Amino acid sequence: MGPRQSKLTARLQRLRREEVTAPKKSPASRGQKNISLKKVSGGNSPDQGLDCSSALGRLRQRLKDRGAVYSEIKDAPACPTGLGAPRGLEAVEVRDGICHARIQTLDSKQAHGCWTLAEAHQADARAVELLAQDASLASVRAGDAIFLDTETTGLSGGSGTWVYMVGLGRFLPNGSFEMWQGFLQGPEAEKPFMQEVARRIAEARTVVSFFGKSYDQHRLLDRLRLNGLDSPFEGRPHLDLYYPLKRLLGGQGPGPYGDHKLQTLENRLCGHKRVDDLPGSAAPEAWFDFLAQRPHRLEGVFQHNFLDVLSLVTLFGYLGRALTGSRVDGRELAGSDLLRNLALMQSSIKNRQYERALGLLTATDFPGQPLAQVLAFDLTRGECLLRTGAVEAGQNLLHTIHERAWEGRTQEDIQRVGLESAQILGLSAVQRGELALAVEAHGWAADWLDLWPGLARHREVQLRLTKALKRVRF
Amino acid sequence: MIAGNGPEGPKIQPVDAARAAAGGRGTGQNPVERIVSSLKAEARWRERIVHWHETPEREGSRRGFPANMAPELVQVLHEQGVRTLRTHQAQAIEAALNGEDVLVATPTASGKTICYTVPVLQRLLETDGQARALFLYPTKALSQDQTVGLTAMIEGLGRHEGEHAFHAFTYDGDTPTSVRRTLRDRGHMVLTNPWMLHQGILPNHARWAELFKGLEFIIVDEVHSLSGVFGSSVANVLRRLVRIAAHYGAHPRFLASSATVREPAAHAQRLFGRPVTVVDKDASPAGKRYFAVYNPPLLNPVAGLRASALEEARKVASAVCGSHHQTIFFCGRRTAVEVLTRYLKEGASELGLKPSEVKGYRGGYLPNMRREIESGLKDGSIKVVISTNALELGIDIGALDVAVLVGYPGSQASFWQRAGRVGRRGGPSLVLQLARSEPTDQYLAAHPEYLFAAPRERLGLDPDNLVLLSEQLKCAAFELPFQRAEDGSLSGDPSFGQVSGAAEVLTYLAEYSGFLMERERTFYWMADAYPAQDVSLAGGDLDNVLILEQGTERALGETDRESSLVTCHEGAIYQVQGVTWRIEHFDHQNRRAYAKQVESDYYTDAQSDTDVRILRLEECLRRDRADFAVAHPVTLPEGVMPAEQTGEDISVWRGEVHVTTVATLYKKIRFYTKENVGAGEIHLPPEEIDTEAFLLTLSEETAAELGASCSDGGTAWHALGELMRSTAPLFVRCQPSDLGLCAQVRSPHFGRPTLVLYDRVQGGVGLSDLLLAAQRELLEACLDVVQRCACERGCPACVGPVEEVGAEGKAGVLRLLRHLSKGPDLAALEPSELDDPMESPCSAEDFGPEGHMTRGAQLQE
Repeated sequence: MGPRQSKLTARLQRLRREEVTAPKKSPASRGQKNISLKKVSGGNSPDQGLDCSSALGRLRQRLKDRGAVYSEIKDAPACPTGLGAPRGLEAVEVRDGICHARIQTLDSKQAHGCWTLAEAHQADARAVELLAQDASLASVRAGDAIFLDTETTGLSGGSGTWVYMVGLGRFLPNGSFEMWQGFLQGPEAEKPFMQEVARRIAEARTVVSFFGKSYDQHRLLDRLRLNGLDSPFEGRPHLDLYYPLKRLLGGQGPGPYGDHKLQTLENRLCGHKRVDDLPGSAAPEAWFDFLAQRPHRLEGVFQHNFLDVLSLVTLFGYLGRALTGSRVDGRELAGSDLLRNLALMQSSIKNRQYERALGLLTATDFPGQPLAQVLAFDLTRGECLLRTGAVEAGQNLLHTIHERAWEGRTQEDIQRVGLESAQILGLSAVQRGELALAVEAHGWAADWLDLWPGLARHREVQLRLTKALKRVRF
Repeated sequence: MIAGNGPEGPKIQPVDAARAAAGGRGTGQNPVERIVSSLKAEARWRERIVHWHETPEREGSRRGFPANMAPELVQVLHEQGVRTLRTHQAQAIEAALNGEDVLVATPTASGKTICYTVPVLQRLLETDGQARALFLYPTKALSQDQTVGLTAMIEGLGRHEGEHAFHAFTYDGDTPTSVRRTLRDRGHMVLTNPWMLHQGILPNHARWAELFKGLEFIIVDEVHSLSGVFGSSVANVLRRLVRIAAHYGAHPRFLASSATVREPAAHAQRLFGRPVTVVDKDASPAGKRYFAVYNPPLLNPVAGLRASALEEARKVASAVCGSHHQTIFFCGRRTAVEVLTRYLKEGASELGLKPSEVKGYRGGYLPNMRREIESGLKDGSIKVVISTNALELGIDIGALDVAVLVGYPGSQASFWQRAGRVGRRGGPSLVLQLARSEPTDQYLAAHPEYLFAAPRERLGLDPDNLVLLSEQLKCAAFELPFQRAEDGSLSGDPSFGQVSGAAEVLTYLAEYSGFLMERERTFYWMADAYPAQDVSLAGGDLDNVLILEQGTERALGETDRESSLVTCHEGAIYQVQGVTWRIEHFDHQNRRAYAKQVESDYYTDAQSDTDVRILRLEECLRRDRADFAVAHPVTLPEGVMPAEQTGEDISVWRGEVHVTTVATLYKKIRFYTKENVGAGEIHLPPEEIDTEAFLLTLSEETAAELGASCSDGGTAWHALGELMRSTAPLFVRCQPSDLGLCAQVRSPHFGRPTLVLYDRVQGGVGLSDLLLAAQRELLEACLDVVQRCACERGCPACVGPVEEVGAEGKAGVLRLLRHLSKGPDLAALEPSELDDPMESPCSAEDFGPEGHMTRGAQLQE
């Protein structure tokens, strides 16, 4: 302390261009400061009090200017605010200290949306393996999996991003479901916390997460490494539900934080609707507030994490029923049949299992669905037929696609399917020496290309087709 | 600088050899010799070249390999044609193997690479691949070149495959994600740049644990380029690196290379935070080199007006360009590159070239265009390139033949880097230094020995600049919590423990900025942010302004925020490869400027205004009138006797200031004729900075006797400031544009004539310190420039044109300089004798004898 410090501090303020008033040390004014700090770091208080967070606010603004994904709390729901340690924490002694967690046991018949947790046991590992395109999941079972979701102090990663809550759900031998929510009470207690998290993960055969292969796992690995602990993920199958579910919903989408985020999927597929859910983006602030002994919204984070883990369980159940297309009680799965069939077929094709692809289909007719989607499905089916030797059926199907597409030729995605059907038909005909059909299909393809110039690869195929025809003819 | 580049190594690339042969064919004489003879023979050149300097072919001195070097490593060097080491290489390698930190400060192409590759490979062999090394290069291209060289060495050692293989990898923004993991776990030698270290590696150090655990060497290339904001930031990044390495139990050594600089040991110590062994005696052989100093003719001796250097460059091109060799022109400014490129492309046929064989090159071109030009230079298809300093660092473009430096590049290191671009293959080469009508250039035309003598410029580096330090401490705290010792200090920290004020900055970041949280004497990063992403190393490069084509949003180039005030204002002409664009709209907030292509026969030149307020004075040197009386007092009003020779004469200061800059208007200047064809106003918000400054004050009496304050309205005083600013780069490593000037006839703070030369970086990076140290040398050089200048009453090459300084301007400046640069040295005042204006802003002494200040009397730039 002393005059030197105040001089340096004043100088720093000036140089860093921060309008700062001196912090007060008394507990009373501390609360005051907290509230304004919280508001600004939450990003929704441009004009009030602080000062200090103007630096953070400015930083975020600049990051956002440069296109960083930055979560902002728009209208945080009326989430209860608490003070002090979260309720119901149990302390477990582990090798290097104490780990705190909230542990609850649930009846697995409990509903989460319109699914029960127990339905996860009826998941078909083949469906999961196929759609996840991961052979290590060939015998995945809900009973020996751990359902993982973390809460962190930011999305950016790196050594300064803390994982302060880890939700780990699992089915117990007695059939009930255990929800373990580990909570980090302060940065100094991280090692025992991570030890316990790693131990629990290592007890399971499979890890199930949502976007965890890209996110949660890396955050945990960083923290484990920083504490000199080994990775429990090594050699353990990891089912990241994001990718297979995205396939089921028709490929391209706005990503894990957009329309394909967990909350949307649990609602669309499993009928669960959240009320007053604290957004994940409020998680950093809640923990910072708790550490600074300010009023905090950690209870909302616990609840959010709890629901996320339950949704992992029901979505796992959903995914596991994709092959049959219906739930155990015979009810149909929510979501588009057509897209689901398409996803199954495309996943099989990826493994070059064309027969299997055809065998998986639960339907081939989708009345009332958008023409472009139906035709895309048929095109995939036609390709499989050709590959499996059902040439005539395949060629007929492709011919039909071409004709139906031509009727609806004003749309670009239909033009694309039409062009591809004609080209595949043409190539197949050339290969089989069916000159007349080949010439005809080549002409159709040319017509399509007049309508829509196609992509580079389409033009390449066309060239190949033309050359092949010339060779056959002369 | 190129990998695997041994003393007489496998150096000569086929292309080079072919080019050399082509160059000599049919004439029996090397093209460079031919150019030199014609420059010496023809009258029109002979009278302009004021100085020739030749360095003969040099043998160099050699030594054997150190005894403790692994035989297989010696073998590989043998196979690469390296039979012995140059003496400086042997010294550096021995010191490095001895566990010392080493800086090799020798000229370009003296074989510095081997000085650090050998120790690294030696340690890899000794530890059977346990050791690790991190290489830092200033550019991506350099690190890629070097990876190729290292990989060749590894193959030579037979260690390129199998269980005991060594791996060298480039890690930069282009490295695919799929190989990053392999690289982190198995890269023995990771070649990267300061930005990737800062933003990618250090914040994610847990993933790089393998590298840090075994880290033995940190190689830092081209450390002379690490000055100013960038260098000061990198010094802090290195502190962070050492800190993280210590966390993993490693204590790496620094192996650094540099062009020749003044006081290399001091520079390295500031950069690395510890003393290093300096090896700076160049023992390498060299081809014959010709240097010529070309001074454009005086067009108007009375006005001291010389022909424009750019115009002379165009003329001399006819003598130095041709289809059998390669010529590089270096210009100081981007606009100059564009103008000269345009001239030479238009006149290509007269040079015996096709327009496509002439290329411009500068920062701000998009990367693929730059790569294309680089390879065109390497394969010889480009004969003439016109560049800014962008081609100064070791980007591999092969060796060229003739370098024309249009104007002094601003530092001796740059001069030698540019000169090093030619003559690498042992043949003769020519460097032509073209003087502009500027004080530095004219000083060098008169004192060419300056160029060839020991370096005199001081490098500015201030890792403890509070702005940079606080930003870097944010990054460091993100990487690893900081722990206070019992006494509250950071004494336990391996890097920041010795940095004064670091603990207070952390406290500040915790209590005021809210980024950190202190718990039980430990500072933890507690914010939802990734600080390294926001903290720039070059001070604001993230704030760059992007120039886009209006309508298509196609990127044309970019420029830094400060320059954008004068280059991106609406109406500015922006030039790329000779094509002119007019800025239609400048979105200042979002840092985007939109331009439309136009056929413009003019370019634009913008002006700005500056105001300076003194915040605090930290150091002062002073001389009393009794020590050195003014020789011949002038222009005292009738009846007034010269004041008594007591009291203060002159003082110089260092202190903190607040500066406000506003861009005001721009002029339109026609190509070729340079006539002024119009003007416009600029409406942009002011830029404000807090920084450090060097100040020069005259006492009232001295000012009156020297005529500095009355009759001429301060023009001589202002002209002196401009002269000091433009001459400063001779003694302080900076560009004149790094310094701001404010000349006040009556400073509101001192109440007397004051010159303020301030550091244009927020918080300052030590230039004011260096100016204070160099002030006497600087004033002496200024006097020399003005005395020698042929003009009668002022010209751009000395005090400025007579229209600006007035009829008596030159005489006035001379009078000032004759007093300021002569007589006894100034003596330091005790700190207690300094007033702190923050605490006593209105002490009587500050306002001089008359006790009041008149703002209107100020004269600003």
